[in-house]
Amino acid sequence: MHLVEMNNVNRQYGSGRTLFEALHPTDFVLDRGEFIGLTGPSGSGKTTFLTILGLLQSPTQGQILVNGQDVTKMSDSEKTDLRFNKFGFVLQASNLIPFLTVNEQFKLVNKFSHSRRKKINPKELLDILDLKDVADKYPNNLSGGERQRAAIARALYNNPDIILADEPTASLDSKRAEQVVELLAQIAHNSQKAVIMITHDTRLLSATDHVYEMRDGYLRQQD
Amino acid sequence: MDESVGGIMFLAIKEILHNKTRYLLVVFTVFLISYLVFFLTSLAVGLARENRTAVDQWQAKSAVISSYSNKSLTVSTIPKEKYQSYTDDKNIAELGQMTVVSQLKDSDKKINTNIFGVDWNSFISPKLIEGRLPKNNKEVVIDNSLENDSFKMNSRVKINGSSNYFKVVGITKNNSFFAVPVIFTNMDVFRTLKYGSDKVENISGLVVKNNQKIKKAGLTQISIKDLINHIPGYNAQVLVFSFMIVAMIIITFLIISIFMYIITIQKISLYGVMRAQGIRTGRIVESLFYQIFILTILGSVLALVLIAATQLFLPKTVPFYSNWLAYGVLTLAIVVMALMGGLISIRRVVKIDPLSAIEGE
Repeated sequence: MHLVEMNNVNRQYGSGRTLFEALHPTDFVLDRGEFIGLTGPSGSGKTTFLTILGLLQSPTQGQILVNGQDVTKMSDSEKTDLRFNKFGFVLQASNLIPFLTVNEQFKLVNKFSHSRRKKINPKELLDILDLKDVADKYPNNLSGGERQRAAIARALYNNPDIILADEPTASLDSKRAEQVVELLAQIAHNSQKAVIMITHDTRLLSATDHVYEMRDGYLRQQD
Repeated sequence: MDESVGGIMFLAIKEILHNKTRYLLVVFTVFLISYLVFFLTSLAVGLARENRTAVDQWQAKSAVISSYSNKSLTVSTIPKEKYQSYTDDKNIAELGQMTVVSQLKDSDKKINTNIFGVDWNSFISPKLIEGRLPKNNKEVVIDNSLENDSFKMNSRVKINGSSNYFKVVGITKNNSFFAVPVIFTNMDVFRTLKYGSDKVENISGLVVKNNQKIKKAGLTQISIKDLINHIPGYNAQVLVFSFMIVAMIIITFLIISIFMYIITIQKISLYGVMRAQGIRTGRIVESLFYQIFILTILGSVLALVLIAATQLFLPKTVPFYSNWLAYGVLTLAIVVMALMGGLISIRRVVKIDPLSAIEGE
């Protein structure tokens, strides 16, 4: 069983003459331990693909299976819970809650979490991401890089099976960007998770297992 | 209990603490409105009481007055032949009422007062807090609110420009009718003042303590409630205050709904992030209502504190009466209205698309 399986999934916007196919019918499979890089020009449909995979929007047609379960048949709140438990998002715009300190972002996850699944030790997480000194700061008071790392920490904290990262290194210098990608690779390989990372920086793709390219709504594997 | 309740409280309180100024403004507005509601209520209750405390003291069921008086005690007169058959009944008391002007000896100040002519042995005889009941036609009992006008024990009082003075021998409290204090006299004094002679044995009305029915041509029996409602101006007063209070509570609803709606709109991208992270819409809505609850309770409790302080510092002549039960009911009404104000924002929250978080909108 694959972790995620997409069968003939597409996404259209508008209708009739204004019909626009952001994602053409796509088959895609994601397995544990995989670190996948996704590139492509802006507007090519990368984010559409990632948000459909992350259950943030529904496909127009097709079937998506997560752990063998058909998500296209789930209710909104079931999808929200699945997102909370299985997915970790690292977003372009920060996914941090502005009125909570870095530590409190973790605390909120604890409070809303029903499952007893193991969380990642927050101290370790802050250590790896070099956030120890800013753990009690609000997102506003963090530098761009710190905020991005805090967002990664937040995504990882829930110990999700699937991590979806949209330009996670956008505001980092190259040394730190490499460290973050290295960290994502480790997470995929060592703890049997799947990571998909959108990036424009082709140098960072060397750490990934497979690279996909999105062009005009068509997804192609590059290697 | 669901553990996520802790999460909702955590979210709600953390946000309030992080945006203190914004939320303090909401608390301050609720505080001002609640204070105004409480203050108006206290005045309304105070004024209403001044109209009726003397009547409330009787603890009676009904009153009998002349049919032509249109249920108004102040214009009722009952001649002796109509009431004399009831005078032996311990549960029926004769009452004489008239509106007079009183004046202390050696003072130019004229004070509006009521005369209640009573039989000192009847159940409507005033309860004294000081002194004794009068023994002759030259002694009276006064309500203690007249102390604000320097009336006291042994004062000498001129009533309606009488040539002789009456001596205050007893003091009672909570005896006010038609918003002016009551001076109690015996029936002879009342008759002399109102009809010119104690030989005219008229009374204003009969007060009936129990449930017995009285039927006689020319007489009308009305409930005490009816009697109070027909005190001139009483109903209008109560209505005006009630409308003002209801209007203020509706304003609470409007203000909270507008405030919360604006705050909600400002937070849409934040809600998008929360939705993307997998926090359910229901939780977000609950957090919103929890915030409204905290803010309104805070505002109205502050208002209650200020009301308590106001009561201490307000001059005694202001008809201000604290009714904590009424405050409790009003606080509840304000909180309910505020929570209903939050309903308008729900639609907005439900429509939030987690995608907006990705697009950075």
